[in-house]
Amino acid sequence: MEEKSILQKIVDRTFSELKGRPEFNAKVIEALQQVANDGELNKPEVVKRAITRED
Amino acid sequence: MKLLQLTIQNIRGIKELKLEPNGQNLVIWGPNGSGKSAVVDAVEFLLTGGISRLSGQGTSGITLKRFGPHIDHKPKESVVTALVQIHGLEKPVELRRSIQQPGKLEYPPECEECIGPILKLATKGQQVLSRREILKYIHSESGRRSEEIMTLLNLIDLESIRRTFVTVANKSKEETEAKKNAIEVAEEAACNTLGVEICDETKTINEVNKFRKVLALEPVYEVSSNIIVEDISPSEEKAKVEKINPDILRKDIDSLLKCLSQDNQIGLEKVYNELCDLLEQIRKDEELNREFSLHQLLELGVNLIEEDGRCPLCLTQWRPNELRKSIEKRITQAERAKILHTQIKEKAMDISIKYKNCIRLVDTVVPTLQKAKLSKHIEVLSKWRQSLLEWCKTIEAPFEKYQAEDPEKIRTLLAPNNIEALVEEAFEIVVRDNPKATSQDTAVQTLIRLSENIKAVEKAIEDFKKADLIQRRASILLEVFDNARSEILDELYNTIEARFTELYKVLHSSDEENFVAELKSDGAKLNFEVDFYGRGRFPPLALHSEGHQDTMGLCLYLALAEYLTGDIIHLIILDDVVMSVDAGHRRHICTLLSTMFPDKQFLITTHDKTWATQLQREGVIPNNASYEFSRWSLATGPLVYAETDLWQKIAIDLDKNDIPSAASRLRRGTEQFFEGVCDALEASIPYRSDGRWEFSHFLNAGVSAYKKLLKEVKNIANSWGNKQEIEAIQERESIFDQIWRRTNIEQWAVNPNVHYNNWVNFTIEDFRPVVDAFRDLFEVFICQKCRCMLKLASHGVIPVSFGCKCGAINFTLQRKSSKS
Repeated sequence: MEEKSILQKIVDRTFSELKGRPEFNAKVIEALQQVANDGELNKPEVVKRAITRED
Repeated sequence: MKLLQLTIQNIRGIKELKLEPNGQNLVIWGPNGSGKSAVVDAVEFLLTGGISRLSGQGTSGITLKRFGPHIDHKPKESVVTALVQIHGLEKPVELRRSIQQPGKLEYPPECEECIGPILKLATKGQQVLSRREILKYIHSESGRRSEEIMTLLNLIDLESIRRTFVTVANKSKEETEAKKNAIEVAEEAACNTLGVEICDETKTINEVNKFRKVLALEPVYEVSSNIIVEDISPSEEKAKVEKINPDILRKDIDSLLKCLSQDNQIGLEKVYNELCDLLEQIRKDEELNREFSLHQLLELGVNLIEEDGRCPLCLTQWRPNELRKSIEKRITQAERAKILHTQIKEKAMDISIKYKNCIRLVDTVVPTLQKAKLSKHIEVLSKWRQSLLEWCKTIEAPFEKYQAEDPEKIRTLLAPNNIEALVEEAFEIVVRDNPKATSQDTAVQTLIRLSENIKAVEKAIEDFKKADLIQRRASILLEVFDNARSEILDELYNTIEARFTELYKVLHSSDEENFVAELKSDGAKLNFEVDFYGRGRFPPLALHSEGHQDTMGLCLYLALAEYLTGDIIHLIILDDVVMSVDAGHRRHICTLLSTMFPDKQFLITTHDKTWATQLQREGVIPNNASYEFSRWSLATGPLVYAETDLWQKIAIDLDKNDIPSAASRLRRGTEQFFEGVCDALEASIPYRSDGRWEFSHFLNAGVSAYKKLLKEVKNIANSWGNKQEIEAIQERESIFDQIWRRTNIEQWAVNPNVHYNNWVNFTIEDFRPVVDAFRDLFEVFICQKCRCMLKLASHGVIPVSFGCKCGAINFTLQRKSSKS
């Protein structure tokens, strides 16, 4: 097993859990997914922008 | 990936070296300074483009380009080439890397797809374990261990993401607090407008309806910026607003003077003194000050590190993750400074709010004074306002701009001596020069201002709600990520823990049969505790011996590396890792490597000849894969003696008609081989105080022990009535007797040939039977299936069986008791 699979597993499980939370609408999830796909989950300003998305 | 051939040219202490392990394990042994580690460096360089001992902490000024090549050679002459077998590829692949271009690994372009994952994994350097690294997993404290293991598992990015989520959650919390404060400030403005201490909804509605009644307007039942001014006509509103109203001015002045009250001054001074104390703590402690001053830079820097590990400021090339790890360590060290930093910011914000409230109250007074054209008064108030504003900017950046001030000055700044008199004088002028306001004027003006205040409160509440939602999202994101991380890492650690325990038991089953270990994550830490003879679980360092600790480090590394490298990299380099392990446990390490990791290729370096020999005897290292390094010199590098197969070498000697060399080799080889037999069968050798045993001692003792064992296992097989085993033993006895007779007769040929130099009397025809006989004799002690030497297996000190490693030969030494 290599790095990405462990990290990816954690990220996937995080998103799956977030989808069930009322605070997270579809747009926020989508924006966060995009940040994850871009490999920018380690950039505070980018993550902040994603969770600031409104419906 | 397995190593078939390795060629090193002008790297570190090596001038020119070619090794041919052919995908099998190999051992390099020799004294310190003989160049063994240069081979490790060369393999590391080939796979990663770097040499770890030339980078990281304590290596300032030591660069790969300058110190990677042999001291007499240039980077372009320093090259490592390897022929490797890659899983999934039929043909071997040649890899080449030069110190001239360390970032470029040369390989056939069609192999890109297969080599990509190998390089990605190899770049992290997990395929090399040195004793220094073993200690990282065993000795370090839990936070550090977690970091080391995370690095090994390539999970550093995970920590970086977690830190980002923590930052976002903290920042969101700060922002929510600021928005909450903004509501309080806006509400206070509304209270000031109404001239009341607290304005809850009921009280506000009552006050509003009083003013509406004056204007003969319907009462309202809710507090809303639009509703409270309902039915006031715009023209009426405009006319009234433009009028100077001394009553409202009085209220505004009273609010301002209240802000300057002595109670407020004392409160401000108290917070200010607390702030000064905190700032002094940071300034007095130089290290803390340094940590703090760099904290923000480090946090910024860690997010800017280039993906390939390059420093964003000076562009120095670090090994991937090395710089990040180093900066993250410093960030952790700066945590204490960070706590102080948060406290200082909170105090500074508290002070700033008090000053800003004062500014807001000045701003409510000034418009009336402007309408009354009191420019002198306005000028004084404006100057004061300006100095308050500037001080706010200073206090909001306490570290960069703050200068210790006399607390008296702080009080004076909030409440200058002349202000009260000034505003009272202005009020008197306004009262003198303007007609008394009607109750309708006051009602309209108060409602309109209150409407604006409520609008500000409504906006502040809306902003707060948004900030609060973002804060909740940020903290949920962190919480959910932490949970997912814990769950998945726990699954991972459970797997590694189980494998570690299994491996450790292979080494220590005789004395720690019930050994258990626990590897558990605890937030950012990773706790590692091991059983100590059933007395509880303790950190490995606490009670176990150094040798046990080393084997724990080795087992933990192997468990981690196995999990990580899977089928991608099969090569594992063990660089002098058994220094503190005794001979008995080293034998178990041999068993561990060959039975638990049959698909891995181990490159082992050691300064210990006994361990190198043991590796061969136990079948871990093939006969032709042992390299002795010695007599290193700057001009030549190490002198390398490659142990090719004994019989092959003798055959070469015979082909050259070099009988003395062949005889000498046979004698030396037999001596070494039977020393191993004696060790494996626990044979008794006549004691010699000088410790110098010879060929015949080992040969006779080994053969005698073997015969005795055969006799014993035959008796035991008889006791069990195991006919099949009895036949097998009898066959072995018969074969042995035939070979031994041949060997014994011809043994004389070996000694005189070497000692008396009468080789001229021997022809190839005379010597070949001698060689054949000994070769057959060797085979008696070796399993034809696993090619390992037969040995005695004991439980504690009691021998339990006699056989080989693979179990193809296995005779019990446990007699059937009379009861059974």
